[in-house]
Formats: sequence, structure tokens, C-alpha cells
Amino acid sequence: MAEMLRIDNVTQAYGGLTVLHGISFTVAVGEKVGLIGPNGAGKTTALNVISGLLPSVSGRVCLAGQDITKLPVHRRIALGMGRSFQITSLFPELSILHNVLLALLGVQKSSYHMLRSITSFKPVNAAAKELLDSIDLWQARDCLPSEISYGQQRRLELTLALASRPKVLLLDEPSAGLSTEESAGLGKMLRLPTYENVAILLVAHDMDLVFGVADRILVLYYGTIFAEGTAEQIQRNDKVREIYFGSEAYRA
Amino acid sequence: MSAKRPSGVSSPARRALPTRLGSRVAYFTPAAIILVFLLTLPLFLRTDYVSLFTKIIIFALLAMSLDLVFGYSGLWCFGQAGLFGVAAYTVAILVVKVGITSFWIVAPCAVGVAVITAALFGVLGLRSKEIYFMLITFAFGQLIYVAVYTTSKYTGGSNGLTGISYPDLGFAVHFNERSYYYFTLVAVVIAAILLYKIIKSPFGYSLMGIRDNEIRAKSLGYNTWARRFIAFILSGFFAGVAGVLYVYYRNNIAPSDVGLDYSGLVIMMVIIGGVGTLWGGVVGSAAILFLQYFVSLYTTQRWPLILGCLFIAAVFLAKDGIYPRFTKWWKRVCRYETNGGNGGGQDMRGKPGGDTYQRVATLFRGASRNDAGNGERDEATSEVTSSDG
Amino acid sequence: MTRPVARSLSPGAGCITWAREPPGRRESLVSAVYSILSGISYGMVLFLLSAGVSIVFGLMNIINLAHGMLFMLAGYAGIEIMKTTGSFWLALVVGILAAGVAGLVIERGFLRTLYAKQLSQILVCFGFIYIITNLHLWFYGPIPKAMPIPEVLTNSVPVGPYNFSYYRIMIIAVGFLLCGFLYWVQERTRVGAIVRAGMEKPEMVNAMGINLMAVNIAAFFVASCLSGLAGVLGTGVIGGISYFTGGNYVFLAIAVCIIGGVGSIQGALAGALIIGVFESLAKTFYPPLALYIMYLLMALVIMFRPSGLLGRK
Repeated sequence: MAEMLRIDNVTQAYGGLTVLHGISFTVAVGEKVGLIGPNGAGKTTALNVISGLLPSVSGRVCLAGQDITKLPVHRRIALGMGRSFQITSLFPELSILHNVLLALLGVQKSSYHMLRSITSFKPVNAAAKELLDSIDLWQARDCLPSEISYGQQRRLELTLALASRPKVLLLDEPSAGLSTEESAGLGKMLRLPTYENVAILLVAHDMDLVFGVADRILVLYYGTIFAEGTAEQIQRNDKVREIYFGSEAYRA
Repeated sequence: MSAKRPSGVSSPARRALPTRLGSRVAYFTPAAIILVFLLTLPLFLRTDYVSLFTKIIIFALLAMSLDLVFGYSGLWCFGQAGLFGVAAYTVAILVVKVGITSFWIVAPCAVGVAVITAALFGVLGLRSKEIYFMLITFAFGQLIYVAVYTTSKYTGGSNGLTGISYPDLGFAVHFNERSYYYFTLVAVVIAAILLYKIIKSPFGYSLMGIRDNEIRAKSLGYNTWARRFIAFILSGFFAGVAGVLYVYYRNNIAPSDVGLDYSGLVIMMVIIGGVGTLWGGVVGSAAILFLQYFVSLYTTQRWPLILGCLFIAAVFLAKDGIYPRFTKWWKRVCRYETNGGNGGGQDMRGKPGGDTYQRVATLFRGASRNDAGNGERDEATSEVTSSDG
Repeated sequence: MTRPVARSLSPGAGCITWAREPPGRRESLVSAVYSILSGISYGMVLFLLSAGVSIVFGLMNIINLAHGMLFMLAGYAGIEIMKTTGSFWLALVVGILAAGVAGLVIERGFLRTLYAKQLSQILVCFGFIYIITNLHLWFYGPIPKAMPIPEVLTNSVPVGPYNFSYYRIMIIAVGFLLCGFLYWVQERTRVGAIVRAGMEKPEMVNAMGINLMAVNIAAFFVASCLSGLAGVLGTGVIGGISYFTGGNYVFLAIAVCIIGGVGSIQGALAGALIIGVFESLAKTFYPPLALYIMYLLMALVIMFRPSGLLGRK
């Protein structure tokens, strides 16, 4: 399969602390890759480097064959990336409808219109209605994000990342704080044929979600790729068990 | 108080209590009363009051131009009087020193100079935000003051420039206080409509989004730097217009009109009126200039003292600003709703949503975008509607 | 309110007018040395003034725009004490304490309730600038007042054709001594470690059982005292104090912070000396540049190092 995202020898450091030690991996078109690892392994840092929020110290990031290492975040998004955040990251002072409208307009030229009301863009508003209907928030469209429940905020968060229909989705803990039921629903959704051609890089602690969604799993441990393989391979990997459950638990 | 305010009302009168028409009337009545008053006041007020109102609407425009960056973009600009001042001084120099009197040459030049100055400020200042941006604009505001003060060959130094009569429009209009008031009113109303359109446009909402959560805005594809820069330039444009109107109104200009005192005054107007409400700037301008006028009947020298106390009082007392307080009160009086409010949100809470993710997915059925080029993105998104999800 | 431009009345650094024909090469060198020395002494006053702004900003995230007012207040207290008692040292102590106490009043009375609300803090300080400036004009009038220099320090060392006063030498010495002491406190002592940690991770410091509030108050007091010291000593260098001094000098402190970076002693020193020396050189060799050189330096720093030359944040 054609390669969609290539991470080549990326190193990242905060001050003297090296968080990523030259990691490399690729994600093919439509491939679902899970990125797991204990806390502090550098998973979110990796997503930040790929999406451009953190400039990498060295190494290359390529999207669909194009070197995007030097591009700022908004250019990468325009090339077809989408990103959700671990900590719910909405526009707190804008209504839910306007949150979604901004997400839909982000990569469009019409977002520079200055003299037309935002509500006069019919296709965008219709798309927003449909998105909000689908997550049962159309009724609450004039509320502020702080006025809806946490589960709803998480759904809105994911919807913002999906709104621009990315080719590569970077999901940072999309199931954080969700109930098992909701988490399962999320997993099912990511496997739907709709997303067949969307490459997904999924960072999660929720193993059920990762094992259910990912074609391939990367284990990140102290800034290096420690193990790689399918769900079964990872589940059977002794070293991975060791870092997750500790050696004693493994012996027991 | 926070520099951020809710974005205001988007669709008036949806859940109107009496009738849709009734609440629309309620919604627009105060604005209509004010507009009628502004239109007719020269007919019944003394000229010094007409002059006061001219000043109020000029400063209202300046305050609104500041609110565009201050309230809507979250950029604490402390140099707005500098932008205002370069435009005013450009007019004065062209009229007094160069001898060009035609309004149609002088005004665009002046506004252009303000825009260029704003662009320069923006290039340097927008490397940082909030407090650093404030410090940098503070410094550049002071720079303009120093420049005006020291290049006395062109600017008249501390005495400033005098002898700028009312604008020469090139046809038979001879301004006096009353007619210049109308001239200003027309200009300010047009500018205010433009500003209102800007804040309700996708661009305006993107500014608010960037203000609220810059990382998220970037991650949705917004070039946050460029948008802030454009906002700052737009603000410079409107501040420049205010500066042009002001110098013709005063008939002279002095360094004190461009210094940090005026920048502080305008910030005060925005804060007292209500940050991030646009019309708050009008209210704040009126409130402060009225006060200044009535204080000046007793003493002019103690005005800064009163203003200083006002600053401190405003921080501790006027947390929202006058305009939002007024709208709240008016809504209660007329019992109309402008948006869904909290009620809708309460209903939504705690509803189990296990299957909703699949419903999100259905929207994307057959519409994944990996073959769509960048140019086709708009179509790709609008497909959501056409693909009958 | 019209007020004179920054230092048109206060020729801070070596203000030299050439009475004779333009200088030769050797004379140029001598005047360069002299103006650098003057620049350093002026820079030291700026350092004492802006170290406080920098520390307070680094630690508490407050830009204390009222800092210049403390400077002015101390200068005035010093002048009054000097006039009535004639004792320079008493004037110094009273001036420092006056600034320190006034600083505490502002912090405890107003800024305390506004932690983490930077905009409100700035507005309150702005209000104080208006109030104190106007009160000052009301009671003292617009004429600048100068501090009499104690007799011991009135002598001077000849530098070529110029005289470099003992007073300026003392200021340089005091400045460097204090700078060394503050640097030592910052880098080598427990208090300094707490302050540095407080700048980085205030929650952590609190969690370790250290009362950060007390540290903040102490830092604010020390910062205000430094400003007071600058106010009493500085009047002899900046050419007197008048109602616009406070506003103008807080602006200079901000310029120092932009150039040097906030949150460290060395940053404040670097910014202050750069402004002092460059301005003084400009005044000697190309006076029209003198008023603008600070802005040029600021623009350069902002372009290439937005967080200041030695900024901690």
C-alpha cells in the first residue's frame, strides 16, 4: 500500500531531556496504527511533532511523499491532517455551533470572508447541522462548551478533528474519560468502511480500543520504538508485558 | 476581568416570549432610540454639546477599532493612540506644512500611514502575545510620541500644529459644528457597520477562536499569525479614520493627543463599556467623555486624578462593563431570549451516547477524501450536504 | 495632560556639548571612554530600577507599572529628608523604606486580589500612574527637583577634559556590588532556589510546603526597595525628579526588560547597561540618534530574540 505518513529518525528534547530518540515508522494509506506505551513514553510528543505543534530537533516528517518537516501547523492541516487532543480543547467562549463552523471553515478560503455573516454560508451551516445532529448536540447548539456534559465535550472534540475530513487522523486518547460503552462505540466507528481510506494514528491507554482498531501497534518506551506488530503479536510479546505489568506480575 | 467575552448574540429572538416580531422590536428599540437621538441632536442642542457629541462618536470609533484587537483578538494593544495619532499628524502636516487641502488626497494618505504603521507594529509585536505584546505596543506608542515631540520642524514639537480647518471636500459644503457633526456621524456609522460585519463574519469568528484557543485553531488549519496581523491592520485602518476625523474636529493637534494617556483613555472606554462587545466601545466613549466634560466645568487639572481612580474602580467594580449589563437588564425587562441559553444544555446532559459515534461516521459515508486535492477541499466538505448522509 | 518627552529635561548619561571644534582622534577616544563610564553609571540606575520589575514579573507574572512611581516617591522622600536633616544616609534609608512600604501597600491592597489577572493588574497600575502623577503636579508643581549630593562625593576624577564625579563612581560601585549580591542570592542560596523554582513551577513549590505567598511578598518588598534605592541615588544622575519621572522611568524599565529579558538579575543588568551605554555614546557622537537608539535596540532584540537577551521565560 502507498505510504501516507513517514516519520524518519525524529528526535525531540525538552531542554536537556531527550523525549524521542530518533524514532522512525510509516503509516500506509488507510492503515490504522496504534501507538501505545506507558506514561511519559513520548506518545503525545510524537503527535505534536507530527502535527507541527513542536518543531522536531532532528529528523523528517513526510505526508504523502511530501516533506512537511519545516511546515507550520496550519499548512500541514491544509495538506490533510486532522488532530484531536487528549485534554478537551474547544473554543470555550464560542457556542457549540460556532465551534463546529470554525472546524469546517478551517481549511477553506471562505474563512477569510470579512463582510458576510458566518451564518450565510449555506453548505457549511448545513454540514454543521448534520454533524451536530449526528452527535445529538443540535438542540444545544447555542450553549457554550462548558454547559454540556463531559462525554458530549469529548464527542465534540472528535467531531472538530473529523470535520475537515483529513487523510491522516492523529487521535490523542480519544476515549479518555468515556464509559466502556461509548469507548466501544468509538472503536466500532473507526473500523467502519467510511474510514477505510483514512490513515489513523491512535494514541490510547485503552487497550480494548487499540486492539480493536489498530492493524498494527507500535510500543513506545522511553522515546524509542520498543516493539512493533499486530495486536496478537504485541499481546504475546513478553517484553511488552514486562513494561506494562512489571516483571513480577509477569512471573506470577 | 477577563479580556474575553462571549461572542454575543447570533440569532436574535428565536424563542421569543410574546411574538417573534415583538422581541425583534424589543431587541432593536434601544438602538433605534439612540440612532434617532444622534440624528436629531444638533437640531436642539447647544453647539458645545454638538461638539462634545462629535468627539464622543470619534472616540467611539477609536474604541471599537481597539476592541477588534483587544476584545476579539485577545491582543492587549497599548498603542492605539499612536495609530490614531500618526493619521492625525499626517493630515496636519499635509494641510499645514505641505499645503494640500483636498480631503480626498489627505484622508487616504493619512489612513494609509496608519495602516503601514500598524503593519510595522504588527510585524514586531505579533512575535509575542498578551503581556509581551502589551509591553511592545506600549513601547511603540511611546516611540510615536517621542518622534512627534522631537521632529518639531514638521510636527511643531510640543506646541503641535494648528490651523487645520474643516475638510475641503471639493464641492460646495461649508462645514460648521453641526454639519461636521453629521459628516462624522455618517463616517462613523459606516465604519461601525463594517466592523460589525467583520466580527460576525467567518474571519471575525476565527479571531475569537484564536483568542480562545490558539493551539486548537492552528490544528484546524488556521494561520493564526496572519489572522492576528490582518486584525491588527484592520484596527489600524479604523483608528486612522478616527484620527482623520479627530484632527479636523480639533482644528489642531498636539503630542498629548497621541501619547500613552490617550491610549489608556481608549482602553478605559473599552473596559467600562464592555470588552469584546463592540458597542461597548460606544457606551464607554460616551460615559468617559461626558464625565470629562462635566468635570472640566469645575476643574481641568484634576481630571487625570479622577481618571486614575476610575481605572482602579473599574477593575474592581465594573467586571462586565456597562453594555453587557444593560443588555442583560433590557432582556429581563422585555422578557425576550436571544438564544437557546442554558436550558438546552441542561436537557442534553447525561444522555447516553453509545451509538452516536456511528452516526458521525454515517456522515462520512463514501466521502473519504484521500483522493481530493487541496483545491477541492471546499467541495469535499460541502459534499456532506449533497451526499445525503 | 501635556508632558515633556522622555529625557528632554533629564540628560541622564554624559550630556556633552562641544564648545570647541570637532574632536580629533585621541579626543574621540577620551570622550568615548567618558561617555561609556557615564553610560554605565546611568545604566546602573536603570538596573536598580528594572531588577525589581524583572523579579516581580518573573515570580508573580505582574508587570508592576507602578514601579516608576515608587522610584519617584523615594526620590522625593530623599530630597525632603535631605533638605530638613541634611543627612544623606538618613535620606537613603528613608527613601528606600518609603518605596518598600508603598510597594507593599500596592501589592497587599490591590494587586493581591488580582493574581493571574494580568490585564486588571496593568489597569490598576495605570490608574496609580495617573493618580500619583497628578497629585505630584498638584503639590509640587512642574519644576524638576534635584537631590543635593553629599559633600564627600562632590569631588571628581578628571577623564581628559571631563570630570567624572565620585558620585557616579559610587553609583557604579553600589550597582555592581548589589548586582553581585543579588546574583549570588539568586544562584547560590536557598531563597534564590525557591524563587527560581517559583518562576518555573509555582504549584510544585507550594506543594513542597513552602509558603510561596510569603516569598512573593518578600520579593515584592525587596523589588520596591531596590526601586527606592534607585530613586534616591538616581536623582543625582538623571538630573532631578519631576512629575513625569515615574511614568517615563517605568517605561525605561520595560525597555530594559524587553532587551534583557525578564526573570533574572543578569538579564536586567545586561538590558540596563546596553541601554545606558548606547544612549550615552549616541548622545556624545550623534545626538539626534540618542532618543531613538533604545527603540532600535528593542526592535532588534524583538526581531532576533523575542524573549530578550538573557530571558528566563
